[in-house]
Amino acid sequence: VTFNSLPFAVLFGLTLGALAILRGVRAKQICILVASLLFYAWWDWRFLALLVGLAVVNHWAGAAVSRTVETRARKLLVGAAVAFDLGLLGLFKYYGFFVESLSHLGLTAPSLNLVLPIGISFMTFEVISYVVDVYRGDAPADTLLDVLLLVCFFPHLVSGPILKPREFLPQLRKDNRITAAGLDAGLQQFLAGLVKKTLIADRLALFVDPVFKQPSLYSSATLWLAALAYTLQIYYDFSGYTDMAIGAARCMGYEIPPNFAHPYLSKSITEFWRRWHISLSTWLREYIYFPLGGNRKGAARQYVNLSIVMLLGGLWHGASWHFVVWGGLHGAALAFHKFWADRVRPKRWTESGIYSAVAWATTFLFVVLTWVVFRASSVTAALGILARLAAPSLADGIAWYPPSLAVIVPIAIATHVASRFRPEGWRVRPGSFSGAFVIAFALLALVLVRPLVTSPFIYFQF
Amino acid sequence: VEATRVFDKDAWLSVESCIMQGLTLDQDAAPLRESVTNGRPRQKPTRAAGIVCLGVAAAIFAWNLIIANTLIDPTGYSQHPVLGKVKSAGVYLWGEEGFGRASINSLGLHGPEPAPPAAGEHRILALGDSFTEGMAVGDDGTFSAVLQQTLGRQGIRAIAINAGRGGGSPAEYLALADYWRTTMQPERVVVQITDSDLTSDMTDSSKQFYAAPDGTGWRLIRRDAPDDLSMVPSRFRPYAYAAMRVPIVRWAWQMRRTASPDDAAAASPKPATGVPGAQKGPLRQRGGSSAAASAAPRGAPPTRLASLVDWTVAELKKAYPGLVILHIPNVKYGSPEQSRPSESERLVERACARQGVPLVAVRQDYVAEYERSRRPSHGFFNTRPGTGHINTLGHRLIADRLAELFEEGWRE
Repeated sequence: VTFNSLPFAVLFGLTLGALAILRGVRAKQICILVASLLFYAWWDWRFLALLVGLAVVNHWAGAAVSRTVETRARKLLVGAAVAFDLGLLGLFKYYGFFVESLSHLGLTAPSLNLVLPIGISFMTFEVISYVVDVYRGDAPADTLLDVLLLVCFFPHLVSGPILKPREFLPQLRKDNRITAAGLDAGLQQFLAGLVKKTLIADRLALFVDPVFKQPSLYSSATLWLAALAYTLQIYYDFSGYTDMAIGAARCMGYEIPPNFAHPYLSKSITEFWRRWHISLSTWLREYIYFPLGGNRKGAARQYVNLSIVMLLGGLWHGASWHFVVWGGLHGAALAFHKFWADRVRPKRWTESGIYSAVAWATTFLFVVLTWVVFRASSVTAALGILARLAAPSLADGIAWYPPSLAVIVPIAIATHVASRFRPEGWRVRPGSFSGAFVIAFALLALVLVRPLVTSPFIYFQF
Repeated sequence: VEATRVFDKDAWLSVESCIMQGLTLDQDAAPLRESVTNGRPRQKPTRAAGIVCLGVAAAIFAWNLIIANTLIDPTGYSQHPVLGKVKSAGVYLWGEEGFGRASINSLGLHGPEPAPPAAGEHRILALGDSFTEGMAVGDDGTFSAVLQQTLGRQGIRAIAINAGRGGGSPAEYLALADYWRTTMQPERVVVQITDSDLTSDMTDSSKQFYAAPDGTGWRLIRRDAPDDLSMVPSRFRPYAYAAMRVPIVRWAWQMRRTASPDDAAAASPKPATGVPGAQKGPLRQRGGSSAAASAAPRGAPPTRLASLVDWTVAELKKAYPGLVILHIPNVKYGSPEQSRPSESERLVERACARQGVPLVAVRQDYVAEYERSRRPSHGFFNTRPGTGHINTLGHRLIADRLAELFEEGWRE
């Protein structure tokens, strides 16, 4: 079930109804768990065993770690749990990639051709953070139901945000109630996410997908436009999903932290990663960067650590070399920015508007160009596109300038910039004339001008 | 209560939060639900509902205005005694695939009112579907208009009547042959055919006119005019027709149609992963794909297709003296098979040769132009270039070929 589908609306409505009637923490937890399992089973019920298995094994490991006093044994236990989690992820997500890469070296391995379970990367990171937090003493070992809910909670199940166990588990133990204020805020955020996904991201996809499918057919100017359009598409697609996830959770009385903070206004790549996919960058920092030593072992080691983290972050996105290259480029950029920031101390000229503008433009251009690597079907295809972008020509392919972009892009930019001045988001009063108008206008837009072809959420494939 | 209202706003807010959180209030506090919200006197329910309705009505009005002026023709449809449902006369903007200004005449056809026959004037009638009609192409861009201008520049007095109608098929052109011949009195008739005409539209029994197998041959079937609103009970139909005059309703009705599998495939960049919408299957991916099977033409099977094409060309020749067949191909621009004719195309070529009917097939013109300028003859900026209807360039290339053909005969 996806958030922008009718079955989800029915399932979500029934869940809210049941939660309003039920009394007691345990009953509500069971209700949400059943809804979450149904949510996942709608895609493929056979992977429910994987989902539940991950939670059960990590719950058991967490309980064992908390009972064990000896440090070495605790380390062994948490290591075994993490190895199990990564092993499953590797089997489903990276085995094919491994076999394919071996074949380039002239080696062979049996091919399994396994289907990638939706959301497996998010689930794996979630359970790893649980068992590591228990080991560190940041989160207590909880009941199996709590751990199941941490992993399966349907608003974040397939595409995050990756929740911090120490923040989310306490919410599970509270008797959250469905309130008018929560419903109002949650539904408005859900609607905002639906508009972002359906009216902006899916509309942009109608242009972006054909161009990236056959980039050699199109002119350099069209490729530049497609690169910019994809930059907006991936943001509105993913942040739209996140808004819907946060909105759905809020309706039920749960708080999920924001995952984006206007990333395209960043003036450095370091700032970008503080604003883009915050839950992933936080996870990478806490569970990979810090254990590697972070910045505690000297500048050179820090640059290496940053590069390793981003390479792994790239690989997390997909089992393909172009994701690794994308991560490597971001790692190198983070290391370079750290190097630059260590040497260029704040001075008068670094505080100037021109410096800020150049910093923003450089960061944005880098992000756009690396999205090309991310979106292309392979490294070779990405290099081909980048070469065409570097040497533009007016008559080197089909020129395609969709008029819809002339409407969408300014709206996208305006809303992006406007949100910065109001980080808590825009809310309307549904009982007022303007509130009723805005909500009805948005709902009608979803019915009347939605694209006929809906694209799957981009992050579902990760 | 009054004391609290005046002196203790926080207390009122806490009462409000109790209401919002659905907590039970005691008897004394209960009346507050009706009088206060957010520290402000609460509106009467009827007034509040009225304000909300007003906001919703304003949103509907705004969208109606937007749709009427951008997305849909504001003129709607009317009934013609012979042609059935035709576009209402007027001038409006195409906006779906690309933008173009279209003048619709009293017969619901794209172009000026057909002038009565005049001495020394050649008359050409162009029959076809939305390709001939010139979907998303301006008044001067259709091949009929360009053909007339081109012949005029060569000193040939000719009138080219654009009788293209969206959804048309050769079955319809055969059924309405008497009407077109008598009203338009054409000297030459250009009948446009596409692959989908032959592989699906021609035998589509949901259409008003279609061809059905009859022993070893085919026969033409005419049924009562189908209508989008046929499913509405007859006593409600007048209301449904009235509602359809409202642009926002008509647009919502149009949105029911589904997108083509080609578009859906293009929209799913990575169907092999477990993305919802991708093909369901076992935990292991199966080799191969069902795409080839789903892409197979519907309608007549290949053996019947040949006989359908032969029958269609022969019947058109009987119905329209001075017949020219125009084949508009589907071209996969930039792919190795862009120059390869389709099965239907080959069959049309063979049937025309057998019947001695002139054929204008423009695949090679479209491919050559694409190779030269990288401009496909199909598609507009609102859709993927190279797909959908033919654009101004595609119309011009057709007009050039037709002008060559007619000039040759008429100069002699």
